[in-house]
Amino acid sequence: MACENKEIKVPKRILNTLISSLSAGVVPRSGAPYIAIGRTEEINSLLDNLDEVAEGGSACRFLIGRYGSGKSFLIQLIRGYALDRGFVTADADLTPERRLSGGNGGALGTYRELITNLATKATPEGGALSGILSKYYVKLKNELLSGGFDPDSEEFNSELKKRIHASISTLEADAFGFDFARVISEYYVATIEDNSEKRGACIRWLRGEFANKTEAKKALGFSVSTVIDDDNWYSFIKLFSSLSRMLGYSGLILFIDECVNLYKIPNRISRESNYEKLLSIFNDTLQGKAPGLGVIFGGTPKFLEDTRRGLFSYEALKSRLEDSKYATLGYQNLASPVIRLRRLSDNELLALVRRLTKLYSEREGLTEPPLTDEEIGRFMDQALSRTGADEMITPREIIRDYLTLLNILRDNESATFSELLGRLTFTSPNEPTEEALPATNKSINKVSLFDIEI
Amino acid sequence: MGKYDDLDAFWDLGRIMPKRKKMQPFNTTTSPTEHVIKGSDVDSSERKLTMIKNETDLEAIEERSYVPRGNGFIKEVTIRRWVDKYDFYGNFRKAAIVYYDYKTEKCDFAPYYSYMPQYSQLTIPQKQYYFYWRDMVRQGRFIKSDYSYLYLFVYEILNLPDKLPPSEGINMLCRLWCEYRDELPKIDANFATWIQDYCLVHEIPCPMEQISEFIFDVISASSFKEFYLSEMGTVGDAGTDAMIAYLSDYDFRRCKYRTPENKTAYNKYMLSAMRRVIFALMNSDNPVYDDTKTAVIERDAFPRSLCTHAVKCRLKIRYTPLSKDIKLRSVVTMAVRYTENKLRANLGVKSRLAIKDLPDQYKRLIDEYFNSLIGERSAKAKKESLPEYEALYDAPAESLSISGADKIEQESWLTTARLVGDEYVDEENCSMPVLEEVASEKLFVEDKKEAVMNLEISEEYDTCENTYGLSDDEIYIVADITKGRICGYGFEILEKIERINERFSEEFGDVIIESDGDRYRIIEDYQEDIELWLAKIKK
Repeated sequence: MACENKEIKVPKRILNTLISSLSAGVVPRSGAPYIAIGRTEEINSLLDNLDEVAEGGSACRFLIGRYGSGKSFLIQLIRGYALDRGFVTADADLTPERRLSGGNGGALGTYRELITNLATKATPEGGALSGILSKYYVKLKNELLSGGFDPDSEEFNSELKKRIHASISTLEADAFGFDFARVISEYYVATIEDNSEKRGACIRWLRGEFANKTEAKKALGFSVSTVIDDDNWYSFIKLFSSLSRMLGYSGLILFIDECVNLYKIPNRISRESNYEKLLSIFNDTLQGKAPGLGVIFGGTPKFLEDTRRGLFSYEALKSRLEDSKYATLGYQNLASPVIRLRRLSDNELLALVRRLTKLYSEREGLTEPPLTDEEIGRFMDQALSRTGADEMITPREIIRDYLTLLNILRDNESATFSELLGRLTFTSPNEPTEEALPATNKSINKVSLFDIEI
Repeated sequence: MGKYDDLDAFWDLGRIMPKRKKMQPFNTTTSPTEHVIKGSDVDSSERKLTMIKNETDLEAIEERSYVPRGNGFIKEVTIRRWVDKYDFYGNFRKAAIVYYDYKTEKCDFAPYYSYMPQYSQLTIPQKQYYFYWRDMVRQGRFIKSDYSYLYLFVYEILNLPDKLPPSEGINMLCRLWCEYRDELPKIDANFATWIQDYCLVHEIPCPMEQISEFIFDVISASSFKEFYLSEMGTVGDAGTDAMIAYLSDYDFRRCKYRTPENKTAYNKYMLSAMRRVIFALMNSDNPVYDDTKTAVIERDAFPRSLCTHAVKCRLKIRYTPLSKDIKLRSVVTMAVRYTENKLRANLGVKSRLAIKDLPDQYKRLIDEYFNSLIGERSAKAKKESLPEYEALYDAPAESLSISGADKIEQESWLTTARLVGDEYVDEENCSMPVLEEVASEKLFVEDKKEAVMNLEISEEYDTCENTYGLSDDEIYIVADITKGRICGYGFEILEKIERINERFSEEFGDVIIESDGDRYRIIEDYQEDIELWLAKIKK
């Protein structure tokens, strides 16, 4: 069933998805471990964090790297591992509309995205909320069956409700826990009573889809003291992490990427409000106030280290996240909350290309690799020798161009490697670029002649 | 004579009128006439103006013509010796030769003003200071001077080409101009003309390098600008500036967007871009200006100066008049406006100047200049503007090596193994659990939304094959899903499917069942494999 190489079996669907995603230049949702080249220390450090969370602890890390350095890839990698290890994961990319704090539904949007993308091992693509709740229900039901209860009797249902309430009520101690426990209990009751409408309403409440308590009460059929909104969403995330552990999962891992969008918030007060929320998440996780919760933020160097607008502009975060003086001695401190992703070295990029060659051969069922070592070397020489490659080259471009080359050679019998290499223009870095005049000096990253001292 | 005769004499007015002097006739002899003026109280010498009758044969007029090298605008220069009956200031040259090496001790500055300075006009203090000053200047020390001292020295240079060779004389003239134009600002017009005449008369190339720093003022002051303009391509921004000033109808310096803050950069970019255009205009095989059209200037050399007969001459210059070339003026004007539009775009100013009939080749030159500049500057600025922390994200420096890459790739499998789990199914040594009878049970609450599943209890499946840790009823569910029998969303079926997927994910590396609307199905990639697997484990 699996496509084999000499090292590790790669399941066929995963291999197909992997190659397709890489060819399109997007981060593969599955199969990332098979192209995890380099980053060994960083990966091990993050996996150790997951182990801590599984043991009841909590963690918060910042993955900081330039565009195309592999932040999103690393996030997907760790996400896949977390799913395999029985974690519940949730991921969301921040946008100008989705933030950590703020009115007009900006923060609630982030929460909804996270809950929509809840995933488990059995449901790796997301939408696992129902599955998570059902798993516990079935577990309790099986316990009752094992205990000799007749599933058709009233006693069965009564005992089931009692046990559900007993376990869920442990959540009432946390902030907003009473309403959270109440809704989940009512969700199970609705399942027992086969009330799909009420069940749906409970799911909507958990997803934060009610605008106010009145609307929630009307749909749920019972009063709640709160609805999930921009201000309290993080408290419910902590409740979900407690729930996941209670239901038998290892914990809840959040992946929040594209944090540079917080850096881009133009209003300083709004931006600092978001940083305050980030600080509270950081403090909770590192002080053990959120057992079973791991949070991984992804952002650019500017987002972290810019002292005017980045995290380092917020003194409380700067003092917690900046390197100590010993870190400047040239050694990497992997215990620091911040993991800096340096650009992959040329040899690591070459190793990546060689791995791709193997995977591609497996997918195509080739007995021999499509390119020789010498040809691969020539490809890398050309990719690394173009102007600006030493600063701008990313794994994304190398992968996309290499797979393009292989696909062309596969689909066109008359095409030769040497001819293609001579004609292939390498894709531009997916970064903000300078434009030739006429241009204005108002856009980000555009250089004005008049900004430069002569 | 009676007593009344004296009375008549009383009325004779002739007796009381003053007597008229007897008029002498005008002396027209050829002997020199000296007009002697008594000196001042300080100077007991006599100050003299002299005129000497020209003994040159009036018929022997010397004339020579030549074509200047390196000046594309001047077609021909004709020099005709000046002939007159009298050699005005004839003694000046004689005195200049006598005084050529004269020096005096250091003394105080003595102001001196004269419309036409000469040695004979100098008082003793003035004379002392002049020779002291001249000696300092010859040593390269340009001490305080007056206009008249300066001009006196210039007259020496102009009138003594035999004592001071023109190749050295032009250098001294340029030095004087450079050093004294700040202190004595009114010398520009005279020097501009005298130097160009000096070069034309003595067939010396234009000393552009020495006057490049203030070439703009030179062009402005000069009456014959074409002499200086042909060297503009080698001068740099200053020369371009002068060329634009002469040929452009649009003055970019008056642009309101050229503020004190950006003035320096504005000038620099404007002139650098225009220099390319000017160079292309002047060096093209098909020049924009009409090269065949010529104009003639005829005048005396060294106007407003003291020129003796030895050097006085008349110049006739045939040249290409640039300022009158309409097409050239139009191209230069439009190029200046086009360049300014580029700068305005860079400043973020929306307003643009109208451009009409500017040939594409000049637009390209300007575009290429700014494009390269932005590219270079942005790369440089970007690099210079990179904060220190960016260095933390750079790749380590190392050379490409196949063996190094191989080692990295092999080691990465360890990471992959940790990520995907290293529990492989050993197919050869699989356990063979005995299939037990499983009582039929309802897995769903009977409901129209729930599916009905018929469990076939049989010892159908042989577990010699790897069962991935699934129980029998889970295997049955997989079998039914392959036949499309499972549908609906009961908690129990949901839970079992989750477990099946979990087992396959752990053992096999991927889930195998997905939801398709209200049905479940085997993922297409594994459909065939699952059927094969079911067939294998079925007896």
